[in-house]
Amino acid sequence: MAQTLLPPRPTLQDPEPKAPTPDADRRRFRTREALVTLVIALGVWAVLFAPALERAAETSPVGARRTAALAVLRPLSALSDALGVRGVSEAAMRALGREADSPPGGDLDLDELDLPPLPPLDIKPDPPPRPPQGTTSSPPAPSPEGAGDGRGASDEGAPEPEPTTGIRTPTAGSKLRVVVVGDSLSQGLGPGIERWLRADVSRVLSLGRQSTGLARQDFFNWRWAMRQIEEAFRPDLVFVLLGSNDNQSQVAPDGSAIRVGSAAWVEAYRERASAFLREATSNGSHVVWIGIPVVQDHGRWDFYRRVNDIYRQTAATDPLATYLDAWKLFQTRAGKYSAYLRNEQGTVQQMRAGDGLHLTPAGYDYLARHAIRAAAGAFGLSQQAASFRI
Amino acid sequence: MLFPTTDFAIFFAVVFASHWLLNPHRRLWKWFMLAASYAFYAWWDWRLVWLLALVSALAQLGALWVERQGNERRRRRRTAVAIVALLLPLGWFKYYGFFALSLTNAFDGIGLSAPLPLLQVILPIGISFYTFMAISYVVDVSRLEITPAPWLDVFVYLAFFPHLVAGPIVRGDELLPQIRRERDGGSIDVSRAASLILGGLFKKVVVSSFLAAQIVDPVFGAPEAHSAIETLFAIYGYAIVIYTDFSAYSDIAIGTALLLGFELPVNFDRPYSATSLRDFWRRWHMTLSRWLRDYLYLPLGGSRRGRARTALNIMVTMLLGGLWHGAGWTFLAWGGLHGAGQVIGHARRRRRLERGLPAEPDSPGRVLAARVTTFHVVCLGWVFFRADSIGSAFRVLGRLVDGWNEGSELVTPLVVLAIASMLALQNLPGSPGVRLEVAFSRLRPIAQGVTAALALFAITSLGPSGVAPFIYFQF
Repeated sequence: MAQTLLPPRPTLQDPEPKAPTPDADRRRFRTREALVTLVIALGVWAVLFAPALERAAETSPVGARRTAALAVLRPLSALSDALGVRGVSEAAMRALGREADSPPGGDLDLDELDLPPLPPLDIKPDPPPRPPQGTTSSPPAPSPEGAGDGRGASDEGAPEPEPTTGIRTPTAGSKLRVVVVGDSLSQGLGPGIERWLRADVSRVLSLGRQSTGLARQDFFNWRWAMRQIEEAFRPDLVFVLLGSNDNQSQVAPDGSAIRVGSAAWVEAYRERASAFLREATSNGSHVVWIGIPVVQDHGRWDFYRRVNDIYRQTAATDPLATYLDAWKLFQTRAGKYSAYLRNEQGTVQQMRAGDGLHLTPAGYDYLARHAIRAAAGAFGLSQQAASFRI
Repeated sequence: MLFPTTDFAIFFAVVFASHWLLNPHRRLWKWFMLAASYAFYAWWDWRLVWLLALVSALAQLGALWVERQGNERRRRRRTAVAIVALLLPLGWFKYYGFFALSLTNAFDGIGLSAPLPLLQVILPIGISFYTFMAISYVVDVSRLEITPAPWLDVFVYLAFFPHLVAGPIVRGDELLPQIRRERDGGSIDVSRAASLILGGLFKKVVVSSFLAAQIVDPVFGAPEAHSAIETLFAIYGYAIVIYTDFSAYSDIAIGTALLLGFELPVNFDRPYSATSLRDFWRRWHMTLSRWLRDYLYLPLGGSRRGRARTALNIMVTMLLGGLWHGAGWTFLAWGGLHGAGQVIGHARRRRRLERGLPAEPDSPGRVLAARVTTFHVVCLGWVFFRADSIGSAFRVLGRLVDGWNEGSELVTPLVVLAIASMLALQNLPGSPGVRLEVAFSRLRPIAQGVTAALALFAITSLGPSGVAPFIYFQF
């Protein structure tokens, strides 16, 4: 037995990590028996879980890996059907609290949140007039040192942006309803927004979903999710940050792939962005659409700048929306990517995570403050709502 | 490659079959296991595979160089040089950014420009773990506890995929003999392995993911927006999250190694049943504790050089142990808290012994009080460990002072149940799981496979659609 090979350790001060107590009653297997156990365990699990695995594979990025996975999983799924296992496993999944036919990206589970009652519709402001130049919010100029600098946003003497709408002034009795949606970047932004809005006058729901976007509605449908959010929560303010997973082919409702890089892809994506925004503003909610921040990998620049253009143009079509150019916000003065940037106080902070895409907590804080400033600039969000000087 | 993924399941099935086929052919087996382990590592980022090879080569070169020197004093000097060489990659990849950033802001404060450029250095996964193993190998050779192993064995020892990215930190004399000799294919402890792997998956996929998403991440992300009761349960919740997450990795690592006929040291032993911080470190990340003890605390003089020096040695050990986890003031604060707690504990223990009183709690009431106190001190440390800055940690702690009249929306019955049950499991007398393992071992292979599949199905159905990486990967 392997344990007996271990030489005795010198006793110094603390006891050594203990190996599991050998038990004479315990039966051990030969290699072949162990292999049978392993193969049966993985095989039976694969058949039981095949429908869910197949759905997950179908919604993975179009390519050789997806094709190979489906080639294996479709027969397994058929076997699951033929054996009548699918019904049993789906019933078991429901019993365990998971909807068997839910999309692989999951459901929002808004029912599980303790949401406040919906506000009466009359507290919603009227849609504001569209300013002639659009409501795009630009980040401040970078600092002379070459690192991005947020101080410009609150510079003394800088012209205050003209509020173009009136988000109501929140009170403790009638809190500002805020939602943060999007992909994993928005999951980091959510706590930042929550931190920089005053908790006593706002209620923030951070509903971001990892690995989601607009390209693969079969994985997670943000338009549908937004409708659910509007119906259940009717937010005053929506922060949107997505697109980092969208550099892949879209799948049309008929199952065909719309190749990334094609003109059809751009048009389909633009339509999805518009449809999502229409849903988000349908009840008069205000939307701050945040572009993807500059990323370290230059190979992704072209795609991300292209989708950022779509977001900006889409936001410009709706008076209840504004666009925050996070690409520029996280660039150096020379227009480059840097992990280190100066915050509003001039302190250099590491704002980017090691993957060159996501942000550090300090970066999310910085972005959250600018997103709130964008809401203040475009929609007149009250200073009372924020826990910092807008 | 993450353990709880289908990628790993397929990888392991292939490795398992090939491993046992090649087992009698040791040289071929070693090359195979090296290739499999490097493939496992390259799954995250193939560009960093060279670093693992570099550290392995440095360790072997260092060990051979040290061993050739017969004079003990000179051998120690050579050992120090080898350790510095092994620490250089770790220092660069893990600490350069923190050091340069701190320097930049310090120089900014006095109106000067910093002498070091700010560079974003990628942190290679597992570098702290395999660097510590490499150091232990060189030092053990220097202490004449082991002799240098063949090159290929050392490369396999450091890269062996079950322990590669998050431990346990295995010493040369534990693993190298197992690599050298053919594994016993007639006595595989499948029931123990299944228990460790399935239990680990449950802890990671179900418990850790649930508590992190439900209460810990929201509260630590925005403490001001949450009440005192939510904050308190988020802190308790994080104590469970970090335990279930890290011990899950260790369990799965030990379980997969067992299926390959390897025995890795246990890394956790019910840490939240500890009655003192000293006891806690005998139960938490045990292989790191013993590494710090054998390669840092004892060489510093341990407790043999008087009270003041003992206290200093404990503080140095714990502060460096804190820094090992990450480059940040929060980790230093965490290590400092544990160091200070242990210094106080040592003094208290000594006083009790001098008065003729038992050093350890001697009644059920005192044991309970000691456990509760230790758990809360550990939780206080976790606040600093989890927070992204010292300021954030104090903001979290500040919420415990006020906000008791606010709501407790995040403290759902399921959250309370998850925390309470995980704590209760650690404080149960005996090992109820062992009986279950023995009963499982009596089943035929097919029955075992079906049972394991059902358990796996339940775990994957209960878990979220995507599983976050293990927390200790970043260390």
